[in-house]
Amino acid sequence: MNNTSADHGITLRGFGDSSLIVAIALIAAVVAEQAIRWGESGSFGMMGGLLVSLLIVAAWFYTFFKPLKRLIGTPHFAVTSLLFLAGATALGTFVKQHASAVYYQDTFGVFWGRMIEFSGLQDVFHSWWYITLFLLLAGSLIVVSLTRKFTRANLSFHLAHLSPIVILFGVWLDFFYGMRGIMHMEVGEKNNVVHAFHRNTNYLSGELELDFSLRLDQFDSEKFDPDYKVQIWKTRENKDPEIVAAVPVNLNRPQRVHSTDVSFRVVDYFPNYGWDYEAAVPLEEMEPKDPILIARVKSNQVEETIQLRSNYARYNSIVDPYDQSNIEFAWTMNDRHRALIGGGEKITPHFLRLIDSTGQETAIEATVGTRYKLPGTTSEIHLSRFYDNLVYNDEKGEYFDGDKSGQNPAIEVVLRGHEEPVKFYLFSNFSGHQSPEIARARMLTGFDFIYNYYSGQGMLIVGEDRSIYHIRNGSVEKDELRIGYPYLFEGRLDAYFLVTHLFPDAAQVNSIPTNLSDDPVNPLAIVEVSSPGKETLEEYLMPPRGNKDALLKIEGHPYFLALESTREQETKFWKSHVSFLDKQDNVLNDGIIQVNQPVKFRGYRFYQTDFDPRRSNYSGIGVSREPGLGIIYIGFGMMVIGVLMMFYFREQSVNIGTRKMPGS
Amino acid sequence: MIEQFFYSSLLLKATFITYLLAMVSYIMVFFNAKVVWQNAGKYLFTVAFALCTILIIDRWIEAGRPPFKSLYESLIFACWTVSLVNLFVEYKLKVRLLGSITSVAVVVIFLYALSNRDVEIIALPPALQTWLFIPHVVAYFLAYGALFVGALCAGLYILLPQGLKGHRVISDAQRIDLSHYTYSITKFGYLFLTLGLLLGAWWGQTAWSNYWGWDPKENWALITWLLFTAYLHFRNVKTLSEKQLAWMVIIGTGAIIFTYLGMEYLPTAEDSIHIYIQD
Repeated sequence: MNNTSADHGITLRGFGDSSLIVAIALIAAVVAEQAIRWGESGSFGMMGGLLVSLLIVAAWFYTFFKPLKRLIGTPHFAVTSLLFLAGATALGTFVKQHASAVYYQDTFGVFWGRMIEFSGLQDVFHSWWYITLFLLLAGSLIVVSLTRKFTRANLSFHLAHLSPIVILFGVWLDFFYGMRGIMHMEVGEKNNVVHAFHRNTNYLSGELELDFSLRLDQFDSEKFDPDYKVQIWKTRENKDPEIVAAVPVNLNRPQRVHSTDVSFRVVDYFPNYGWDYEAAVPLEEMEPKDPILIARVKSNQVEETIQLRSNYARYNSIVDPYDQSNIEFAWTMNDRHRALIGGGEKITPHFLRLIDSTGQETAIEATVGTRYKLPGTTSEIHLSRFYDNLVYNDEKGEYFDGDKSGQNPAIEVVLRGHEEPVKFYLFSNFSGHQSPEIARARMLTGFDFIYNYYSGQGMLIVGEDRSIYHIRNGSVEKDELRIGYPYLFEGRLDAYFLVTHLFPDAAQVNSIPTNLSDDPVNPLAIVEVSSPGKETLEEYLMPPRGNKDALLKIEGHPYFLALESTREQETKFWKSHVSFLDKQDNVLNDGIIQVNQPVKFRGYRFYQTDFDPRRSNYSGIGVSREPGLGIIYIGFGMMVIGVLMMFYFREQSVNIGTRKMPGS
Repeated sequence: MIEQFFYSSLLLKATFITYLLAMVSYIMVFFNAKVVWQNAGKYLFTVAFALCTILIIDRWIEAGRPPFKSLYESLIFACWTVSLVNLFVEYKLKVRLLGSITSVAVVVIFLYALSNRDVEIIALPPALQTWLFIPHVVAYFLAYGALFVGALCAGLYILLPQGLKGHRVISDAQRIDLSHYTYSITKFGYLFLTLGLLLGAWWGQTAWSNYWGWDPKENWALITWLLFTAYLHFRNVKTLSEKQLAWMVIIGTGAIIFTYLGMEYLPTAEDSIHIYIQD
């Protein structure tokens, strides 16, 4: 048998011998690594462990030196270590890495669990035996390269076969002289502490300090622009609905819903819609059946459109919670309103409004001590106490009057005439406030209770004579109601109330969507749904945002439509604006770190590696120093050029296409 | 899958149907050995490839980014690279017969893509926003396409070591050395496999400050590269038979398919940052 030549007469024996040597080398590496560990943990000491492991390696080397010397320069040995490496790498993906001893014993049984730990299978890629495979491969490649003459004809061979050695050399430099870690940065903060990772893992192993500092000046992150589409969802029994398609908003392009005869098309689309209103008949001819007032209210940065309905006691007034301005809309004045505006110099009256189940309102002046029998019932209410600023005491579990600021005016009401009296509190600023006691009182009497207190200021808008009454600290001024005019709240320049529309009858008014801007922030699609033999329906489709009513059900089929975008939840970029500072806080340099765009400074690279969705001013900056990186990249280049040349640009081709087929 | 097809664009439907027709024509050769079937297969496959090219460009424009992000997109791109290599084999190497197997494979990949069709187009996350994205993916999918076709060729060699001697359609060409063509195709694939692997490491360094993180997908990329490296060396030291070599290509390509689609089945999958996330 002749194993010394790469080209002639080598049998499978070469692979057999190589496998044996590699396998025994691996066992030696496992035992040697265990010897070190045993030395570290016992009284024998690190040096003792090292000595024993060196002895094991030396013994292997001595015993197998001759066959190793004979084989190492053969492609058989190289290919054998290659295949062992492939197998070992696969093993490292089949066995969970870095798990606890308990996990392995639970999963594989006590014996095999222990064997896994002994053989380093819980951390394959940092075990001695795995690294041994690389050493054997590198050794083989070096010998192979040295035994072949360095000529132009062999250039591609050498480039390809030396490149792994160059790469491994670079890796070795990084392993021993490089570092990787992370810096936890807050905007405005400077820091020079790096939490270092244990070599080539993501496990933290300690801290180190840079001799310069990093300051995070700014941290920006941006999401993608929304991209609204009409989604088709399928409802499923006992399962969440499943999305089956997302149709781009193309006007008037019909889309059939699969397995149905239903099709739909978007007939109009507004990226950012608002409402406009149009009266079906001239205003003068409109009967005041259901008067409605539409207004924009701006208060403390919040601006919204509101609707007030004169005939519905619950919907005819709102309170600005910031200064308790009560704005009420009435088509015609009632006794309460007349009492309110007739107040003159006397203290502004406050009222308890009682609304029966038919929506009929009765108002009584809210003076302490008043008793009132609710019409049509056996119940009686007693206004037992007034609070200027009702505060709840958590410890004592009771209400008390905080001060005379008038911040949270409230009355205490006691309902009698039932088994037990019911005591509840009504807040002028929170007319929608509910409590179990209020609910009980409503259940027993059929009445809704609203408490209005015009403590500081308020507005009463009377639709019939188109006037607005300003109530300010007990004095009342009448003004003409002007459409589109911003009535400022006293002392607050940025807050106003602006009537946009006033109609005597809501039923005679059409609301028409209109585009406020081209920003796709609040879209509305008008969708026409049709199927043969059925009436074509036109529906509004808006992003559901948690509201199920915004979904458009396809009647008779397990499908519904939704106008939805998913893109704006996805991050477009994170940008850390950083400065590098010396010990005296002088700025040495600055830069913007982004994912895939690290910034280099003094041999370190800084990466955008982490962020925290709950802390917008936190940025995790990865830090690394890789002295071998340039060498590794050279190795990469050598490998690609080497393989390319070897395959396609070599004069002396290696037996390609000249071989005879078996059986020919 | 029918529902997915229903909601697909006209272009996608046309591409798939043309591939399907090409496959039928190719397979007809086995039953009716007229040159017309062979040619019809070839030309239909060429048209399907052209449509697939337009499909990818269309997706690129619609998504506003290279269409290699999701599993669905990558499978369509895999169809494209497999088709490209197949056409090269047809027109340049003039290996007939392979088209029949490749077209079946492309149709299967296409169906798999359809069953994983993206309902919504996903935006490109920051980690993928780099110039390396395109060369890395293109290199890998050219490699995957070539090695996949190489494996089909190897399989054909194992089934028909003599080629299809005497077959009326095939016999006009000289007898085909399928093992040799397997090698040629695999060589091309290996070059791009190497390029893809190294570009991936470079990218890892740029994105995560780590050119190698021992992530399962990275490890399997290494394993596939090692397997094909071993194949090329085995071929040169002439210890294995042609048949054994053919099996090595098939095993290597099996490892590639596992690397591409099977990572989620690994117990170490939860540690991976490279696995396609499916809802």
